[in-house]
Amino acid sequence: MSQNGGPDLFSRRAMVLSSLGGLYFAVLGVRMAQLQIFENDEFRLEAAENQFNLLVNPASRGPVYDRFGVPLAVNRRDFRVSIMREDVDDLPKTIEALASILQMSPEKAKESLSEAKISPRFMPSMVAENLSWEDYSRVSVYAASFPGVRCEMGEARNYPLAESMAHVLGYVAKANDKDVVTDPQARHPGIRVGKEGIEKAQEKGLKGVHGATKLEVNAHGRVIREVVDPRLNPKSGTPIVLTIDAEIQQVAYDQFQAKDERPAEAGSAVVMDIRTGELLALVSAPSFDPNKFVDGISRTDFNEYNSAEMRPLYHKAVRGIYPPGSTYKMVTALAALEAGITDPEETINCPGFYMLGNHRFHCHSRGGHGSVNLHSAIKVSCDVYFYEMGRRIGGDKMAEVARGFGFGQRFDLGIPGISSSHVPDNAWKMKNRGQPWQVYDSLNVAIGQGLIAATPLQLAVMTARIASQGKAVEPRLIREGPGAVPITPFKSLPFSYQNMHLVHEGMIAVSNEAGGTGRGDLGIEGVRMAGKTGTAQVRRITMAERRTGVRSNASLPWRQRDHALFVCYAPAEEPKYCCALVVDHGGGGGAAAAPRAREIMKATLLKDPSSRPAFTTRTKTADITPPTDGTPPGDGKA
Amino acid sequence: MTFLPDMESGRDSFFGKLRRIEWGLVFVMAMISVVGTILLFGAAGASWEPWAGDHIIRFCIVTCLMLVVATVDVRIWYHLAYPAYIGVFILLIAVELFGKVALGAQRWLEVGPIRLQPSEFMKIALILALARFYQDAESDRMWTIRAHFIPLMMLAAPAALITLQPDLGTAIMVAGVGATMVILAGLSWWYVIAAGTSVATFALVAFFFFMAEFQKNRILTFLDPSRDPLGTGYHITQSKIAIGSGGLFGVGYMQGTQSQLDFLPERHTDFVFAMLLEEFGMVGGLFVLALYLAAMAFGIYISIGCRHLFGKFLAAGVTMLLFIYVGINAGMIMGLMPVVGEPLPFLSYGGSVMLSLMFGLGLVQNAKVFRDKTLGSGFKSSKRVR
Repeated sequence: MSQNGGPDLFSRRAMVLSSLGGLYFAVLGVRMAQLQIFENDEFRLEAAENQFNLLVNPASRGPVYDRFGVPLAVNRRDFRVSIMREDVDDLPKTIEALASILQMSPEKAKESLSEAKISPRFMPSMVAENLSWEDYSRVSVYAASFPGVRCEMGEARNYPLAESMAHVLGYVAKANDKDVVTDPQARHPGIRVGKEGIEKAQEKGLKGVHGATKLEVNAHGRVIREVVDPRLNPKSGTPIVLTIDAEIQQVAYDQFQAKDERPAEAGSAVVMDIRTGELLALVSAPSFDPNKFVDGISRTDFNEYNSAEMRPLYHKAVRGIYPPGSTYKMVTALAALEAGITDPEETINCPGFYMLGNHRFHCHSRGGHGSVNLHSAIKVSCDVYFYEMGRRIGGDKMAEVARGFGFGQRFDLGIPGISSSHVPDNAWKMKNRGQPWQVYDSLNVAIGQGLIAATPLQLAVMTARIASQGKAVEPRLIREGPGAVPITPFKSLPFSYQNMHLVHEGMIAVSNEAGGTGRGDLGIEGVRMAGKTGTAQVRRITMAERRTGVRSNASLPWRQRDHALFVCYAPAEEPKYCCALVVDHGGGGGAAAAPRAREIMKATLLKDPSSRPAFTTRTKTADITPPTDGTPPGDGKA
Repeated sequence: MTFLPDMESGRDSFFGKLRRIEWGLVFVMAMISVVGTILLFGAAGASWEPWAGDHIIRFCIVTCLMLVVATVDVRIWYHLAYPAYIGVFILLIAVELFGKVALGAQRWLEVGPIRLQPSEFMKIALILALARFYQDAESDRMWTIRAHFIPLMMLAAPAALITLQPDLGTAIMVAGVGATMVILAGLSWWYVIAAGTSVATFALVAFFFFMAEFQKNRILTFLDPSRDPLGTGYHITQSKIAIGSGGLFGVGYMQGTQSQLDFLPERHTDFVFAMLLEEFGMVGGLFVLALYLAAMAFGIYISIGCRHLFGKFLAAGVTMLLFIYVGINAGMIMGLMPVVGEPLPFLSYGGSVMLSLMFGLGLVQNAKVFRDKTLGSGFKSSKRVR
């Protein structure tokens, strides 16, 4: 090895290696700059994501009130016990102890245990909810000796009226997997999601904005401290005021309940303020208890609801499609008058049947009504008269008038599942049945049978439009809050006043004149009602049966009995309220439906809700003038 | 030359030797250790327990040891070189036979209360042995591979044993330090390039056929940390977040959320530099890297300035060892290298690395203290003649 003259081999190589080393250090510096300068923002964000955990802090769900402020859906204080797995020494033992303190059933305790086992270590898992104050305080005393057990006070949804409002309000329940996809916060054990009715359709407004508790956590998920951030406070949901009057709703619901000899019936009732379109009652029976769904309904309860023949979970008032039967005859009458194919004085002879070719169309009166004109045809509900009118008018013309009265229209009340049903005409039949319109279709539709079908809500709208002298009344369910639609004056329908008046006269006769199918006294002095019965046939009556005698409803299975319908409005001279009522498979409209509707109308007229100051959440103090459409208040004592 | 100590006569006083020690290097190492102490104090949440106090006390002890190593006559180290190498090599075999398995690797020997990690000693022993070999080598054909056959065997045998433990990181360090000394001794660059190529080939073969699963995983995860962000990739992902969130000036002492909230694993040992980069930013990182560069510059300066090959190779080998430690650790925490679990000397908590490296730095200082020792007859015990 040379050690003379210039740098020796060792020194040269040391310098080469040093340079390589220096180069590597330069790479380290560049990498540092890349991570710390150029990618600094992203990594700062990632560090913050590591550092903080957001715990959802549920917002108070908006309450729902009736038009006078009666609470329909509220949040009540809920005492609950949860368990934080991270802090628990012996999970099964702790839950066993809690179960004995709270006297929980062994199944419930087992369920809580399995739920706690799968929940994240640092997230609370519910052991028991809806505790009484006594149970809650008892647990609170013992909680100190069980690490990880937390006694909390939260809010739980409650429906004070339970069954009567169930279909309108719907209910809330724990989020399922699908709900969590759209709203990940819904996974929180204290949060419920609207599943039906107002609760579902107005979920967005009612739920408010969930807040959060910002927790600083370490790598193991243990909470170091809580970060206070006022922006993360929950914002309560917006309250909703319905047009419903809880008292009238209850009266309407009670009409379907078993009373004295009368058995419980299935059906629906709609009560509407004619001038504003506000729904005062929207009832479907039988009903269910929405409170059972809030904490998860038991399988037996649900099966009971789901398999019952009278379908308690089904909102019949807006979803149920019925042949309107004779309640449709006002539409036929008006169509005939408007088309000018008859005059009010023309009489038609009813022998009890109507011949079309060699086919007999029967009147509900086997012996016939004899000679009837428009007025008496409505009063006695003569089918033959309307067969003839239907034949003269034709399907398309009748359909046009029917649409004017709201048939086939989907009314947006702010609740889900409202059916539009349909109005049959030639085009509809071609499309849906693949056959052209036949004369017998006109005959059937003229008496509200055959292809025509409507919801009870549509029947109420029809009645309101007749009673209001042809105003295109639109129903409303929400007065205030999310889902409330601005009020616009109703358009007028292109029907003449005189023709409307003739129909009114017929309807007044139904309720008040001798021989009227729905005759009955309201029991309020000086107030008369106008109405129309309907008995909608569900099954086909064969010729053979006609010969041996049509079977009575009572002898038939429930599902094959006729639907009983009644539509009415009152006071007859100055209409304010209308009602449509259907008793599913209830038999004759005059016997089964009219008395019930009368009871409801009586309660409505006596209370006269539109004359009273309505509730508003905006000012907290009741507003004197009805905030609807400037109708002068307080003239209901006619 | 202002002073020429009379070493042959043995009249070189202890204080004379002390004066010739490179105090600049001592100062740099002290600075690094103080920074380490500050970091460890913060890592424990403003507490001397359990790391910071130990760290600074250990540094003081190993500094005293370093002074002893530096002032012991170079001839003693020269004579001890082969026996030390052979002794450590035997220990390595003993580890293979009777060693204690910890964390999936067989690295420790337990002798009563003392736990020995012979692979740590091998780094220094190999430097000593190779330095002596090249001191003795008299060939004028140092570019040939034949001249380096014995040194290559001397480095390959322990590297292979350590790989078997398995402790790939240490094996690479031993092999790297040895290879550097072979290059410094004059092996032709062509051989070096050829060897580099074959090592790369061998590495690929080893990866697919011989590596333990956890070693494979480390390398795969290094290539793509997102492959397993909560498992094997967790360390490196969290380390990068810590470093990246630090920015230019850092988030502040003891303010690092990654470090203080346990997201950064092993923040007191392997990932202490990531904590430094989080809390003191790029400025702090460059400062510490500059300290290491200064230490290495001293090492190269001493190596080149030493008049005898034994000292030159000692200083160069230990400098290379320091470089490999810093390079592997810094590269690893920044995601430039696989996670091999090597600490950052004097910054990370841990006694054995500090001890062995300070011993090595003692040998570097020795090369300074005895730089003018000439190759006298008494220096060598034997002379190989080719």
